[in-house]
Amino acid sequence: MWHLVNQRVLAGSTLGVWLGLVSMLAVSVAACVREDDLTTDQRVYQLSTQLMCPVCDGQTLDQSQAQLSLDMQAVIREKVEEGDSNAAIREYFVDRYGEVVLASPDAGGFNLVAWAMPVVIFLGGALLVGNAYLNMRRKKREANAASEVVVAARDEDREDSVDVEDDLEDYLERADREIAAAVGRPELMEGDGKV
Amino acid sequence: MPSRAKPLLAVGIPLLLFVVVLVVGLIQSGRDGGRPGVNETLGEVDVTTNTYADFLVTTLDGRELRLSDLRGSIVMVDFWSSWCPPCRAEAPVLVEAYERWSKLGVEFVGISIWDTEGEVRDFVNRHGIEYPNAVDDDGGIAVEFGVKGIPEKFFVNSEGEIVRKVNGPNTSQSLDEVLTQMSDEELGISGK
Repeated sequence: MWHLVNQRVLAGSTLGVWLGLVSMLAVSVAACVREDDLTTDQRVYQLSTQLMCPVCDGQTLDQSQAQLSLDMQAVIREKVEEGDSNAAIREYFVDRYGEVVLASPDAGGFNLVAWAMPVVIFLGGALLVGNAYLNMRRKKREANAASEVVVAARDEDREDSVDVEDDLEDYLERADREIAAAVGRPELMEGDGKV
Repeated sequence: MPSRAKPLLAVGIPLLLFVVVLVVGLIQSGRDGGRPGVNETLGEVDVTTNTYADFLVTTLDGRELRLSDLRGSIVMVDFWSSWCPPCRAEAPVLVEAYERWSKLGVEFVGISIWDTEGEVRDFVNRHGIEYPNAVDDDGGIAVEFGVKGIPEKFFVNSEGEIVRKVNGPNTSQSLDEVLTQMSDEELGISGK
């Protein structure tokens, strides 16, 4: 029973799971764009969106006009031109300003929770929605089945009542005949056949 | 759990989280567009930069100065700005402290950031500052040291290692305390 329920839940959540997988694939493909394929300006911009302004509230370097942000962007450009990798440049700023300078946490250690939670919440939601959808379908099917049973029973009752009427008529005819024979007046069986 | 409640939870909880994050984000982004860089966290803080950070500058009197060339001495590197009120208030303290500590072999170096050379020269002349000062034109030195605001001071031991960092203006007493402790450590005198 539970096996069947689980199968249904999983089957009903297929759409959600696929959507999740496609989303993750899209993110992976986007992340696979090689640094070498980007121009210096593009890499400076990319890194500026990945690093927070240390003296601003919730702004990345590209959003901030603080002098420190502009200085940091100049350092990024310098390091990109020197051939440093994006990871090395991020590490440079983390060494100086701490992990808080990263706009999104590195996907490692406890930080994995932050990366995994959206996917877990999404899949959990998909499972719940799928489960609810299957429940609705099952209830609808049960209701349809119940109404079919009621209709069938009604038809059967109708057929039964016709049979009873026929039986009653036969019985009455037989009773008339037997009564007439018993009283010795067979003529009474003529006409409408009633005593 | 009633089956009717499940879809409500499935939609409601993520929606609630989304709204909370949105509201927090809106409040955060509307608060401040970026401060000019005056330090709000005052006092001694952890050193977060590369502890052997170095720089090469041309001082106001035209000399080339490399921090690592000062190895062998305790060095106080001060990041400051002529427009910064706490820096202006602190200037006489630094002038007086340098007069005393330079006799003991301690070096002071001023790095002016987010400033212009003309303003810096005026400031140095006005306050009679005698220790070397330079302007960090592109802010690269400030970033290298992980400076977030001004004034910020980095204390370098005789081996060239940045061992202490103080945010905000110092009093003569607080400056003496740090330099005395560092000197004692160099001499192997415990009691920090």
